[in-house]
Amino acid sequence: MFRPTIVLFGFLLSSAAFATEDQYVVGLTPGWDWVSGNKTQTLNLEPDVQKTYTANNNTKSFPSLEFFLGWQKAHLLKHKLIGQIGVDIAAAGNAKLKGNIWDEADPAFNDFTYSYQVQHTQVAIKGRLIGDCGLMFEPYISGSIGVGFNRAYNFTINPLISPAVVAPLFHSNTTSSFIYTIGIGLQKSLSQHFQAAIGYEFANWGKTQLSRATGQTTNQAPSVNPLYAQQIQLSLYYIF
Amino acid sequence: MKQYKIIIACMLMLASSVLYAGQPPFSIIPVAGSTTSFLLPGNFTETTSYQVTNQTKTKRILTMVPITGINQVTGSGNCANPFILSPGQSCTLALTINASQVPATGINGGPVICKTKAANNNAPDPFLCSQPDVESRLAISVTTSLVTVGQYAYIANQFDNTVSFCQANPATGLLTQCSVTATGLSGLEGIGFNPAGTLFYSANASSNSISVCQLNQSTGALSGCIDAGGSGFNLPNAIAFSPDGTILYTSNLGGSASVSACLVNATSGQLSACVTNNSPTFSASADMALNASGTLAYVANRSANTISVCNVSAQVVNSCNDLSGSGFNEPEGVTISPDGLHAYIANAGSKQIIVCDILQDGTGLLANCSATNGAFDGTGNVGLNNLGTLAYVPNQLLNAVFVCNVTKVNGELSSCLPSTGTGFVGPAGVVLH
Repeated sequence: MFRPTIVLFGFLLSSAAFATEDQYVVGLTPGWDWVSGNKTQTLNLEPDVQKTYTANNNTKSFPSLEFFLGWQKAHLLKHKLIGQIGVDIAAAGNAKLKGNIWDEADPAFNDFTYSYQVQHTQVAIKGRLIGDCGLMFEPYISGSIGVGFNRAYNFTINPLISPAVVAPLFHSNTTSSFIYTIGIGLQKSLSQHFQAAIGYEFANWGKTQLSRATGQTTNQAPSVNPLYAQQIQLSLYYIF
Repeated sequence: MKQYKIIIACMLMLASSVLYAGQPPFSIIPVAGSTTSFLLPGNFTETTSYQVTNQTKTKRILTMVPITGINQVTGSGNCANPFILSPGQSCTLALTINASQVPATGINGGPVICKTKAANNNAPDPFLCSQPDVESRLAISVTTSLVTVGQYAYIANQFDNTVSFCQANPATGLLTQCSVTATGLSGLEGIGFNPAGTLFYSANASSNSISVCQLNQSTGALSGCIDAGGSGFNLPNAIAFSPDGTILYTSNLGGSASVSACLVNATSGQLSACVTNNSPTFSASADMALNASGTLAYVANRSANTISVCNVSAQVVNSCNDLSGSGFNEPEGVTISPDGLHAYIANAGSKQIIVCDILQDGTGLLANCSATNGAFDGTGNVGLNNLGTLAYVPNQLLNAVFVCNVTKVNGELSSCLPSTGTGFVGPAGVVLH
């Protein structure tokens, strides 16, 4: 996934570099996200205490918002493409990761459910390549690379049986890592200055990990690496 | 094909049951007969126990998370502290609840059993613990009200010449933590305390004597029982005191039947200068009681099936009236309710408890007598708690004591149940203190 993104991003950059007409573009993109990537993991909370955290990937969707500021270059590739490049700042609502906990890493002791939330923000360089074929809806592709910040927090445990005793909870933790996105969609020009788009974007949000619990002597806590997000986007751009 | 479908369905069901049928790593189940929910007076202790089983595949060193007011009892086959359990192995976690140390908010939950933190650190490791089911967890409340102070019940074990004492829970009425507290007595039936509550007396019918014992005010235990002296006793079977505690009265079943009145040494409790009171109404006088002001004596005449109501003035007991009350059949015991409104007569012949009103017209005579509940059998008398809300009825046939609710308006006994107290041998007299 990483290599195609670099190639796509490089192509977008080079397209913009050869453009002849410059305009500024600002965009606002609300979206609807859902994440995946959580995997069953077995952790040693203490040297002799092992628990398995299963993954339930039936996660709920959540909103996101993206702000884009950049340059637009028209008449690329024999007047067939429009290129955009700029800074993209995005924040996503609370992704919820959840599953079950097996004491002793044994499914016979499937005694708890757990959940925690991940809040994602990112700063990236984003490029967009839009068709310019005179169609009512022009296709586009996009890509970005940058740095993301994943804050894992609000870890909770609920017993499934009454004799189960909840262990100390993992603490919140913020992790930064390399991120990238790739997207496709359709864009329509509404007027000389306004354009609207609808699209799909796939994102690698990088790593997220909770911090160890109070009293824990090992340094293991539930983590996801990488955490993937998929997004349906509605965008509005102003060209000036 | 159909068989394959059935097999696949069964395998799916098995898989799902394995996945979702969670169980605790350590099962903690009350031992049969153990109670885990208590409402205790602040001066009581109780015990309870759980069976702890290691359900994991790993040998574990386990320990209990400390609970204020609860101590683990080790030894005698119980779990040690900490204790080691191999996979599938069990031990009994025995606990003592000391109500005086229980927080005012009570105890709600536990015991929690955890693995220890490390081989050289026996502190509980919170990362692997279990507890009992909700309905089996400890639920302990402590009463702080003076009216619900916990009393001890003292039971005269006539057939083995001892005295048992038990905690009488004011909330449930049940007798718990029973043990023998005095030995070496002799055919005792009538027992009681002096008004100051410092000395315990036993009427020893078999040795024609009265014993006096010291009372430990904090534990309720008796000790140092010795002959109290006095003379003229003939099958004595009652202990009654003047309100100021200077005179002890006992009824004598033997001979021509009489009531002895002895002076009491305020310091030693020893008896002296006993006076024998006779009355033509006395007949095999099997028990007696005084009213609160000490002006009237109620004497049970076992042979005549009557109760004598006599005037009392210092050591003189006379002017007896045996015509009041009815329904008596070999009356064995007389107990006056704390409010002085009712008399309970235990009848050896009919094995019934008769409750009578005590007329409040100055005569103190008995009226409106009727049989009430209470599984009385043998000899002895009913004991009442300080509030007059619970009655304890001895049963020598069953070696048991029953507890009944008292309706204070009419004195009726109801809802009689076994008190759960144990260790009684021919229980006769019952006194609460």
